[in-house]
Amino acid sequence: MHLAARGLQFAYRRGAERTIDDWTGAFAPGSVTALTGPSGSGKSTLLYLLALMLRPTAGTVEWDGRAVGDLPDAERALLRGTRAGFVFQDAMLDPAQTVLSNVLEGGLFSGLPRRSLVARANDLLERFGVDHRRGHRPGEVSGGQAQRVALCRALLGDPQVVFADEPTGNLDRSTADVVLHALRAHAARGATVVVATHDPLVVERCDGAVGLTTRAEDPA
Amino acid sequence: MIRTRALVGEALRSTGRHLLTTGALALIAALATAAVLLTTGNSYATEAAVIGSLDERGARVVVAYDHDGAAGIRMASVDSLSRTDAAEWFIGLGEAVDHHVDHELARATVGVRAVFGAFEDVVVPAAGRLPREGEAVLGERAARDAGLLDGIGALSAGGVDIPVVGVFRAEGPFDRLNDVALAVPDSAEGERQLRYLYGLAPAIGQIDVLADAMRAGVVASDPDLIRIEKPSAAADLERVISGELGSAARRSTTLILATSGLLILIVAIMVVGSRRRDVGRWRALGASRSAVVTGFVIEVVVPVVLGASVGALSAQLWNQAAHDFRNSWTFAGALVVDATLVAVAAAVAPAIAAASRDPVRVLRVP
Repeated sequence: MHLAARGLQFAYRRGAERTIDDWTGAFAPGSVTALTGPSGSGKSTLLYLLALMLRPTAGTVEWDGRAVGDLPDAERALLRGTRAGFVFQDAMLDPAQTVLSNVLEGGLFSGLPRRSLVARANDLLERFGVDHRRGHRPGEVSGGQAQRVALCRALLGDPQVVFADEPTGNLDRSTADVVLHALRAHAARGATVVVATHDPLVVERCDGAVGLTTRAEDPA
Repeated sequence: MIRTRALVGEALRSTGRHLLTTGALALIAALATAAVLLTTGNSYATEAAVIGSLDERGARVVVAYDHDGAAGIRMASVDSLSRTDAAEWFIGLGEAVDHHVDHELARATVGVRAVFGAFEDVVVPAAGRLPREGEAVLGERAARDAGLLDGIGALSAGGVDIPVVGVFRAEGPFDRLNDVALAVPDSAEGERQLRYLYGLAPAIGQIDVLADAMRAGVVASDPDLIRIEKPSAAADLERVISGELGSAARRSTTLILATSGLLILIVAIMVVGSRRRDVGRWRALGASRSAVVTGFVIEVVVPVVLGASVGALSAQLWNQAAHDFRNSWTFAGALVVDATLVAVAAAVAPAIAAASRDPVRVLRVP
């Protein structure tokens, strides 16, 4: 997917300093691009604007040339569910579900039949070496294994674009390499991968980097 | 369609994963529904017991009487009114005419009243049998006075003998018939006048209807001279008791439903409030706000419906066993529907609040 933004602006509160101020950029299919910058520079904000999780106060977000940033919530949710995958910093697994159920959650809104999702989930778990944990709950697996499960969830629907917010932030080096290798492999199949990160080692492994320096009120 | 099915399926699976809140919701709904039905059942049983004591035959008899014979109530009134549904039975009594008992053991005078209608509904045979046309039976006290306790003899007046074939016992409002004899007139004798016309209302609440029917349906020469007596005090008391017990039951029902609704709302808020990370994750994975709301509503409504159904069924069975009474299934079903609506109302607001929250705040790790 060709991902782009023009004149993007965003502030968390009306009247507050803009977290994103007139940003324009594009991300080509088959590429892994890092959004870099110090803490509070708006890396995650930009990521979530591109991912249609936030609605820009001005400017456009385009997916394959179509302006999608201002679409109604239901349409944006549909686009995320069918065309995008997410990797969060702390895996964000549901402790009440098994590893397999957590992976299947990635296809909940994809519109794909459950049977095919289950088969693909098992394939992904095996590919990332956590298939032996499919019946366990997140509290019973290590942090590294949890992030690999989150990776399976993100890739379950074979998304055209993957958004990763500090995907290696809590991981050891070897697990971080696994995650980065998987993202690069997915990009090699034509997907667009955007990674928000402050880790220079991650930036090194990306095809390109976008530096953000705007400082704004921390919405958290 | 696949997404809707997937959403519903996931929400149902979620109710199974969060057993604490699911169980709490189901229990609240079950207890509330059962409490309403049991309260109603107890109220009904109490009301029935009280009214049952008021509903004795004596409290339901309406009498139309001709004090001095001037009204001219015709015996055809009994047949005429018996064709209506206003009463369980009608009985007519003629004027008391003294007859003599000439017996080796005693010589006595007994008042004899002609009787019309189903008088066997108010007397109990104590000896012998009930009379046919041209025969008579003696009340218990009259039989004792006349020395005819076996009910076999004859009553004479004006050279006419009436054979006595039995003795009866009358109770309640008809106790005074024990002092007289009742004779079934020979149909060949022609028209007879009645002095008393009794009707038994099917229920205490239908006394007024019966009185009106008798006033309208009695056949008489001068109906204006007829007096109607009805046991209004019992009917008034029945209305008061029904009203007060009914109000108490309604107040209890309202209080129970309001309390359970509040508890469901509290649990729903807890359900939604504890799932902020889940909401953020779902939104990232493609859930729209309406999908989030729908999912939470299902998670709250399903256990409430199940709980209310179990509560309703249990209470119905209990009422049947304990009080031989069961609320209508329509009422029980309405309670389940009410619980469902309460659950929807309780879940929607917190769910909308959760779905509208900025998901990024939850997803971002500081």
